[in-house]
Amino acid sequence: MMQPKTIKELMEVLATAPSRQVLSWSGGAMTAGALSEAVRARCEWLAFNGVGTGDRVAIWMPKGPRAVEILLACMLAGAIAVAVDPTSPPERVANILVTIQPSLLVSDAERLGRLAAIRETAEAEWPVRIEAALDHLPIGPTGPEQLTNPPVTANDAAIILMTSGSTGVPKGVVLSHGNIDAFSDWAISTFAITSEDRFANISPLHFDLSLLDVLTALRIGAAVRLISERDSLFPMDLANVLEETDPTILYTVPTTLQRLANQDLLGQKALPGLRWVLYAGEVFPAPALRSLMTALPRPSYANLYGPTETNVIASKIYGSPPENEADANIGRACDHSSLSLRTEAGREVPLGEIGEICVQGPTVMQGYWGKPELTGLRYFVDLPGVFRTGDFGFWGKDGDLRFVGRRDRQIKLSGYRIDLGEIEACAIRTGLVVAAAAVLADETTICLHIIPALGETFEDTVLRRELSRSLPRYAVPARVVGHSVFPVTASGKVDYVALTTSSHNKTKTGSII
Amino acid sequence: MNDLETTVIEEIRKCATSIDGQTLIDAETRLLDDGLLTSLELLELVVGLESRLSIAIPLEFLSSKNFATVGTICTMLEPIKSET
Repeated sequence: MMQPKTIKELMEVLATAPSRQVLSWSGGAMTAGALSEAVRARCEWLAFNGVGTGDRVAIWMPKGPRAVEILLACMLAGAIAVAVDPTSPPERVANILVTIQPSLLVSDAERLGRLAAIRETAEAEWPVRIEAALDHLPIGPTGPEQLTNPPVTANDAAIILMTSGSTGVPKGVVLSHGNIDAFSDWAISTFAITSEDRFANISPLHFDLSLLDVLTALRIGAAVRLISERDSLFPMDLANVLEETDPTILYTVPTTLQRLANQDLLGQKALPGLRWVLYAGEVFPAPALRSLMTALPRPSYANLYGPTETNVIASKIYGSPPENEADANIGRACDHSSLSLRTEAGREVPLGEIGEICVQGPTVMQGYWGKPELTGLRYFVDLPGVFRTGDFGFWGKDGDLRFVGRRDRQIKLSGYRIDLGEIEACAIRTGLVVAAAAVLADETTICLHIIPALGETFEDTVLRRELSRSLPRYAVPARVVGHSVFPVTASGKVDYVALTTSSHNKTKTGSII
Repeated sequence: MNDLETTVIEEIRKCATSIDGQTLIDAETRLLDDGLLTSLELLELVVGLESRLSIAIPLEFLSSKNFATVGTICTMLEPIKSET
């Protein structure tokens, strides 16, 4: 039975050099010894509370040392950590809890208070057995017994990452210890990561990028600076934190790098130790990448590709600024993965033709939590193990894979995957509209077209506010446009192309057209 | 509450989806620590304030320290307003 490597080696490394500082955040730092002690104590506390192998633990709290301790404790105890967006509205969190049925929810008093209001009115049985406020979370067991769980194996689920779902309820991507190990092995080898490295963790813990700059980094004994959401809000603040951290490896989404580059902040800051800039989650327009590489020429750059369900499965390393056409170059398969481009029927497409990007390998998720039928849809019936990413691409003449687009109605904004269907489902659920069609108006703006419910006065601010109760903040449409009828295609379907075109026009938010 | 505070609060109410009519906002309300504004809404707020007050907020003024509360926003805006 294979043992999980990441959490095992991580705990061994922490024990090897206990006085070494491995975790820091705004206003604090932690040595390896202190982190190790805290993780073991929280692990015992989980066991004492009856949380064992396969139990889910929802973590709904701001990024910080406590969240990391509990995440690691879950992995050590064999429980499944579910990092929930700390900015998610309580209604969305309640939906997630109903989906994953956690034994334990760890949060803070303020958040639990907001959730309590939802629980009082919930129709379904409340799915959480224990709720613990971070503010009062005991450091160790609360009783004399110290219980232990059975050994964790590489096949056991380790983490559930929530992604946008078209029905309005988020889907849980289940990653096993083995999935995390395979990615971590590849990253350590590819980027020659050592204990001398320093990581700036900009991404939230519920984002798969943190699998590298928290878990992999700590596994190798590198130092991790947790950068709070507040410190990432303004480019100037983020640049100052980066200067203070002097990371050797920076892994984030292109939007963040562009925000820094647009104000020439990376050029101003020396960042003398930086040796890798890694980005993922969305296309980095070639002109923007070129200007960043010009302003900050020393490090190497790599585009890491892969949906949450597979983590990174292809990468493109740039030694010099790319040409114009390179903006959607996602490179070649990682050592651990086998990529193919296939038709809807599962046949491989000829070289140069567009096909769905499919992958086989050890980083591919175990499935969507509690949704085997949905998981099944991501595989071809007669090709077991070949996972369909839903992305399309073609092989270039240089042997690199080019990304073309998505099969479904999912979009990426600042690296966040958003299913436009989820926005529509949530809009209709408000009762304020009878029909909704969400489109991407431009690179950064979601526009929601709606037909108001009979008798409802159309107030875009009211609708946006209602949506913010059930959608993550990044998914709330920036613009809402009312219609008396939707344009339709020849087949009678909503004409999303026409709506997208009308979104480009300067239609005032809140007007009826 | 002075005119500038009133203006800032009105602009915050326009762009913050998490704030409803009943939410009390005063000079001390923590806009960032309590998660009342997202990064996108902060941008909308900056654009709204610039348009409403006919000013340009310099990039170096855009920091979490200056946008922590209505009070700190007003402190930041006062000298910019007086220069225009």
